[in-house]
Amino acid sequence: MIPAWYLRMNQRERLLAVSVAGIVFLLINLWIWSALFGMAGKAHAAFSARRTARAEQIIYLKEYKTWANREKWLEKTQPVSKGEVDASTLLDQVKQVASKHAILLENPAIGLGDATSTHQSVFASVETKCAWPPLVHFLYDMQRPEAFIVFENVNLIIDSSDPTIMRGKFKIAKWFAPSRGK
Amino acid sequence: MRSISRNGVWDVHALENLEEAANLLNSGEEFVLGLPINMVLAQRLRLPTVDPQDFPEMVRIQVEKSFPYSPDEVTTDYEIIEQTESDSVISAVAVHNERLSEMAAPLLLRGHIPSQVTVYAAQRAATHAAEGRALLIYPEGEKLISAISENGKLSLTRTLDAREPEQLQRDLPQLTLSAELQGINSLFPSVLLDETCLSLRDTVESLFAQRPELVGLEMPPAPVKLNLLPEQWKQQRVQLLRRAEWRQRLLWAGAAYGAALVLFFAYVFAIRLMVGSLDKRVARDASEVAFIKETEATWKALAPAIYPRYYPVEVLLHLLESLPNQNVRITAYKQSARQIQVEGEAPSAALAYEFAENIKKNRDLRAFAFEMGSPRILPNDHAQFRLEAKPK
Repeated sequence: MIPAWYLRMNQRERLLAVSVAGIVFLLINLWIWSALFGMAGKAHAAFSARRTARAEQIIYLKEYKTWANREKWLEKTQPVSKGEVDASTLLDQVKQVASKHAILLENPAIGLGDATSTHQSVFASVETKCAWPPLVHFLYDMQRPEAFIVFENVNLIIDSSDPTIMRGKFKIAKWFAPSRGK
Repeated sequence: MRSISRNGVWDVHALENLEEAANLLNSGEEFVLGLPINMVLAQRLRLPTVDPQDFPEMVRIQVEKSFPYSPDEVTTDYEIIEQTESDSVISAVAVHNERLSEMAAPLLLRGHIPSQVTVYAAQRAATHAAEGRALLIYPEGEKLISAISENGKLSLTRTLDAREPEQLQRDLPQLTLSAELQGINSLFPSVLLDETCLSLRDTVESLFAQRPELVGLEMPPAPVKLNLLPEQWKQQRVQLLRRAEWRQRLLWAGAAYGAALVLFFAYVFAIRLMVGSLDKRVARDASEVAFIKETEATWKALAPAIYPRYYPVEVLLHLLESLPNQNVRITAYKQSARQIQVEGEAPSAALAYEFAENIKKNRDLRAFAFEMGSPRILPNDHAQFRLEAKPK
């Protein structure tokens, strides 16, 4: 049944009342749906972020065994520092390899390198003057994965007086395991 | 009386008045209002057979003569009892709209407008005596009604004040006389008596020399063409039906809107559940992933010591492999943790560029991003070049 108050209105009043009611209804709906879509948008964005994070996790987790093995390998293989004596030991090692290939070392120097969260190092700086083949052998013999020896600086240049001779400056470092408990 | 689900079963209620009937009706329900005899003027008219479209007007004129109201205040309808080539016998019925509205006020106040307004006596006659002449005697309230029907259409009615046999013995002969005067043969092949008037059966039998047949409530009543629905009611009914349709549409729209809201909330809720589920899984595996990331970072930091591809001897080997020919020479090589610098000389700038391209294509040097600046052309037309690389 039509309410009495509506029946009491004339045509213009009814039109006005219906228009106002329509506008109010539209505004309320606009607000409701805007809030709902905002809510859905946030939920969807959160879901997308979580899904991406989870996909990334799954990729990592597939490689868990590999990384666990690598961690074990590092723990087992990375040398542990004995102190400042490591620098002279490294220089001795460099000299030994150089002498093996008849390379003359000049201006040798040793020192402590950087300490980072992944390693602490000692270094030996040397200069060489030799032909290309022994130099290649020297470089080859100095490094292998288990040795944790890094050429932090290499500077090779053809000797200006003799094109068959290479002059080299090297900063050779050994990366020990970081000190535990610090 | 109401049909239950249109399955042939009828729900019958004995009601005192229309107030009670109005309470039983649902909004917009279709129903037929059967009027008592005292509400209508029923006439048997003999009219010349004309175009059927002219009958309503002729009936209206005839009713005007008998009814003390203007035509606008009256609703009339008619049924053809019999028709020959020359004339037609018509059963014409009229009702005064105002009286009808007063009587149906309980229905109208509740917004119930009948789909058809007819005469109860016509319904009974159509049900029990669809063919031939019949005399029907039945009660309407406190009064007794005697109605003559021809081919199921009302032709003459009388309201009898008393229900005693003696009174009936006086009134019925007058009815038959009136019938004869109107040209109705008073030898009725069928005399029908309502079962509630069993006490009058012998009296009726003595008057008509035949035992009246007892009739009960019609279930269902036969359909009657007679319709006294006033024009105003028709319009109101159309409006009501339209309003009911719109109400129904609005209800559906509201339900659809509600369903959309519910679905939307369900969607958001489902997404949140999934987010929660993902959060749990992410949290469960977070420690393992953190371990992997930490190990990966350590591994990357130690790469110059672990991976031979960062070793100077490996880099030099692959650089030499990339030389286009023996005339292109490397004259200086510098490598630090952050970058590699290669200087050299080529017989032409094109060979220098070719060397740079070969380096970029070399899969063993893909750990570094090499860039070459413009070669410097020497006085002997050789090109001096410099390549710089950074670990990727």
